[in-house]
Amino acid sequence: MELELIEYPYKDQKLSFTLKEKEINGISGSHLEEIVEIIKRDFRHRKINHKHIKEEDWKEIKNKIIVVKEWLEDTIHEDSLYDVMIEYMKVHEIYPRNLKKKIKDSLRIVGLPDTLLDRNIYSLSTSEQKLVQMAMSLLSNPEMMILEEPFKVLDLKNRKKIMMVLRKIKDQYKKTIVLVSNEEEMLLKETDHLIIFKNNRVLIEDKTLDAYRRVEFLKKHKVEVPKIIEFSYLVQKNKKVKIDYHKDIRDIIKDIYKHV
Amino acid sequence: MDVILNINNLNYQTIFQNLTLSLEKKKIITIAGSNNSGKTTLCRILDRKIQDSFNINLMGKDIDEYSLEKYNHLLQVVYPKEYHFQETTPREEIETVETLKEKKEFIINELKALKILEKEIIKCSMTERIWLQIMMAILKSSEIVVIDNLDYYFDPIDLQTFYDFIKKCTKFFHNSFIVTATSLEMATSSDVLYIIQKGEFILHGEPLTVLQRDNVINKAGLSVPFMIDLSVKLRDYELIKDIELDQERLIEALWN
Repeated sequence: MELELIEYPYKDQKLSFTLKEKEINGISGSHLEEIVEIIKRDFRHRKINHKHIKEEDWKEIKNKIIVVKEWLEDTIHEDSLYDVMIEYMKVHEIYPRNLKKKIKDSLRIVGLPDTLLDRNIYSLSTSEQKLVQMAMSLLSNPEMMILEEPFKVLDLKNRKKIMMVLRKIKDQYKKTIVLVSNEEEMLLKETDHLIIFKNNRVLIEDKTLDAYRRVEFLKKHKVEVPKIIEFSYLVQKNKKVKIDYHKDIRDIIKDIYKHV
Repeated sequence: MDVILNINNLNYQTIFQNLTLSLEKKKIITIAGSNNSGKTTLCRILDRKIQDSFNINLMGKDIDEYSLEKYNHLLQVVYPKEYHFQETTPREEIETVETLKEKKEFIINELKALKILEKEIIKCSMTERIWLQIMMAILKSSEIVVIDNLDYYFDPIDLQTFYDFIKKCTKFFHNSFIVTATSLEMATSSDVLYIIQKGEFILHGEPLTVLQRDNVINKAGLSVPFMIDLSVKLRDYELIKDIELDQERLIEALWN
């Protein structure tokens, strides 16, 4: 699903941006909770897959956009994982023919064993809870998954695991992924398309590396720049040496080695 | 050296093997480790929520020798989202604590700066409640405040403000802090850094020295902050001699 907001009225401003299909989109900046809320708010001022939406179609389309909250506790409270998933399906009016199969399939996609179904949800590890949230969002067969601060409190290994699952969901199951976060280093590394919000408007929308290349503009607007980008910028500015902008530390070291 | 807390050869179930740590007065320790490395269990032991025959010494006495009430005046532990406020506003909440007048005034000024002193707690954002939770712990404890899972509370951008604040507390009120985290981004702001892996401290010492052990840290499931990672690798390639945390100085060292 590609979702395009066109001059959406927001706090005396008009917001226009696109969440691109088959890409990992990043959203960063201020008032991110409100921005996420706007994405699902109503049918006006928007196109889905390049077409305007009719009001009568909006409810169905809206259900194809799922928000994975920062914390599981913010979503639901129940006992076993199985109970939690059943409750989630009731709340979201999901009535599959084979309920158990649907649950097990969604767990399988995120790489969790169905033996977890009997476990108390809060006995699961932080990364398992995050994967459970992703599995629950898959129950409604969404076309777009919006994840709020998906990596908070996760270590390197678990971040890699979650990212691998998200890439699989994007590539194999053709879902649009949106990462909402203020972790600039992570957004640089993991996203393809980036939208930065500041002062109730879209400050930049571009390919992620191109968005972060505009260091002076970002600094002028008090937006954090990933350190790896800032380093290249300072080398170019202070030494007039043409070090390129990179996402990976190994690439910048190769570049430095060539130019030193 | 004024050691106020000593953990000696702590063993607990299969989680800890001979864990040893000492905290000096007015110092900040960061304990960093991957998920499920034992950080929260250690906090619960220090909080006496988990009891066993541990050899933990606070100000020269075994922690079990203190009454719980007295112990809570010496050591407070802050956990993510476990806040229980009784009053309507932060000002009313802090008035419930008996402590030094200057300390209370200091906290009132900090809450004023955050613009939440008179705000209804139920209308406070999660970050504002967390600030209040930490400040309440500082008010209640005359010695040590333990903050579990710091990454849970603040965005990277707020972490500097947090460390600046607790440094002021060490200076003005001689508090000591133990902070646990999965991120090492702000580890250089503490006095001592411990890296925990599967219930064992695999590295500890002055943060900058510890952070140079990038291979060990990566194996423990953690990322080394960018500037240290870059400096260490450039030094390994013999492009620079010393670790440099400031970008402009590193550039000078490379191209001069």
